[in-house]
Amino acid sequence: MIPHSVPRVLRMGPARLTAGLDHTRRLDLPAHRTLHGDQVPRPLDDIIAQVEEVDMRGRGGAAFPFARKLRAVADAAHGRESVVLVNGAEGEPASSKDAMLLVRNPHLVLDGAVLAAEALNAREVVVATVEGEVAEASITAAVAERRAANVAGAAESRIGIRVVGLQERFISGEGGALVRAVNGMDPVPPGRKRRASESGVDGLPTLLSNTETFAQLAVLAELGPEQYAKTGTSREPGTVLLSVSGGAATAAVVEAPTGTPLIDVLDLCEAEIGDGVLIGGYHGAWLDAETAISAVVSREGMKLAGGSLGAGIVVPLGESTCPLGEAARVASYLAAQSSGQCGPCRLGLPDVARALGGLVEGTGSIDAVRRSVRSVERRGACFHPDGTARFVLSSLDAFESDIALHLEHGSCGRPVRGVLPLPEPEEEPEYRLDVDWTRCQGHGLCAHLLPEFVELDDYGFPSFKTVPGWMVKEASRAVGMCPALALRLARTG
Amino acid sequence: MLHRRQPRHAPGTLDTRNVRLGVSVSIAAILLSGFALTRTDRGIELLGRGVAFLEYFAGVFALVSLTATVALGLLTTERVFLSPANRVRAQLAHRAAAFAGTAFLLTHVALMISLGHVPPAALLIPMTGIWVGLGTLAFDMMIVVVVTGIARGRFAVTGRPWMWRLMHATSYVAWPVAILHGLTAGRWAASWVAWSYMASLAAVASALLVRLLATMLRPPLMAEQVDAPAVSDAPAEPAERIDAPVSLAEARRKYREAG
Repeated sequence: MIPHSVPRVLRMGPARLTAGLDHTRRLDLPAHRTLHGDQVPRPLDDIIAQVEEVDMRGRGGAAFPFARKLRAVADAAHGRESVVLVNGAEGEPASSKDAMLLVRNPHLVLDGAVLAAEALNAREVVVATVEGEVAEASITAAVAERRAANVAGAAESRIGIRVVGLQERFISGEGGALVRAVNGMDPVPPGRKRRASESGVDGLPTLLSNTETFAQLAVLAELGPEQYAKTGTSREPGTVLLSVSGGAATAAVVEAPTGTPLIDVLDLCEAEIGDGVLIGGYHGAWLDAETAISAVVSREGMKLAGGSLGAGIVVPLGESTCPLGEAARVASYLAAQSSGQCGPCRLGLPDVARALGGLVEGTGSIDAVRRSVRSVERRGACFHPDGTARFVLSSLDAFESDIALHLEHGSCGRPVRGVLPLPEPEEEPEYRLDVDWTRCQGHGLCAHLLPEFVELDDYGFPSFKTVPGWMVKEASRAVGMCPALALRLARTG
Repeated sequence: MLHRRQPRHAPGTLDTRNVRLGVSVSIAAILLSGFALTRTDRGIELLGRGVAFLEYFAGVFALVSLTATVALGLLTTERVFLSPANRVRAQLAHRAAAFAGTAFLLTHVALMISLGHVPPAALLIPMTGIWVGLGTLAFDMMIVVVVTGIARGRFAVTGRPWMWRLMHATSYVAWPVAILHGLTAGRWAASWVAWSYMASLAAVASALLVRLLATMLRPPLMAEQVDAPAVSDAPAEPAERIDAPVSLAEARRKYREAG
């Protein structure tokens, strides 16, 4: 399989995960084997020792020590089966490293996952990715390539690999939501946290980690800890994948050794910092221009600068756009991405987005935003409300002078350009309730059945709002129950 | 605010995965146990007793639930005593009673035909004597009523609600005919049964009469007259100058001028 267009890859320092990608769009199995050699199964203790030696962490954002995860799964599995689950369904619109790895270098990810699966004696490897994207096609093709190679006499691992396509949403990358989706349930975070390492796919102990983690594991197994630690800082050896987008002239996935100055990465992508750099995605924090210039790409360095590296998302903002407006756009996107399970998140996040929108128009106040943020913080089953709160609060701090301009003049003079990448909003059908006024007797049943969308005036006659597509069942119920047969449901636009 | 995952204020507990599963399983269990009963002699005897019970009572049940349906249907547009919430409930109850009544009616008709009490053609054509024939007549009208009841929403869209009213009101004819059929065909009804049917007939008839009269005697819907200033040809009088300050600023100015 040769994909038509692929995410761009840039590199500083030695080529690890991106080796060979300069010359080809996608590394197929023979090319991958030529580059990285044959895979040798290893005992679990060896792998854990190596992982511990380089202190490898999960690359999905939480930076959980990978050795501890491996050990937890091994302990929980004790004599039972287990599963290795590769999280390739990043919900972050600004991140493209998962897609890049799955599209361009799928066998490296599979090598890492299969290595862990064989060491754990796992039942199967499950790769969860976004349904209908190139990444899904590429990883499916990669699995087929391995099977074909085995038929032709190669000695690829015989462990089963299953590709699961998921609906992409912001919260679908959350571990619990991912496990639920793979199990065939609604892809929403569970109310009670259960560690995947104890009960994950089909209730079995599951080694769940990000695609990059498994790719790094394969590289570590190939190079050995000494060679692996030759690049990067001594405390966090190796390289990281950074997704640089936004104001960058060339949006790309950059492989950089830890300890690289952030400004070098931005220069490589021809990005200007402008009003700030968003680190760690839409649940992350902004670095203002001064800190961004001196910041260093590593977990420690980002913490010193006041952010967190997270899943390695770097979004420089540039100078041409209104930073506050961009933040408000993201806040309203995040509010719409609430799965709607937890009340404070479902009701509070739209309020946060509205408060921020008011600030953009110069009518709101910083206090109103802070107040609305306080009512959602730490009040949800997953990290979504907290992450959104962090993003909004960090925007308030980073764009202080811009907010002052907005409060004074109603605008900072720069238009909102849409620099921060957001997915295209889905086209949703909307419906309109039409009333035949000559028949309407003011019975008021419609207002009882649809209180949010029908208001009665002082005389008891209804006025209607547009009904969203997901309310159409209730609305047609109101139509059917109108005693005067005066209502009709029509599609708008 | 509503959310796509919470499209109701108080999410109902009836439409959940577990309830659906339970209902499907119990229906399947009943059907399967019905089939299982036919495998043994004792089971067939039990089934026979069940069929005999339905043969005897399905018509009665149908008539009772359809009586309730008519009363509830009349109640749904009652605006004096019922709040909108209760009118919605009345509609739901009307539909539930209608569903039960139709199910019993179909059972009754199917049993009467399959047990050979009446020929199959008597389903639609009144040909088996006057009293059983009344039942056929009522059944024919019930078909119109049930079809219009199901297709109610269509009539709202196509723009002929009066058509729907007319057709659905066939029930007011079908129901007394059905009562007559119930009291006269088959076994002799106890007097209290006859009396209670008469009482409900009278109650529904009077309610219907009140509704019809209220509709007919309703004052014509006219635009309201609002009193406008009257026209007069009296000579103009210069208005007396009122020397009250209009605004605070003017008051201050006057005060300053006065020293």
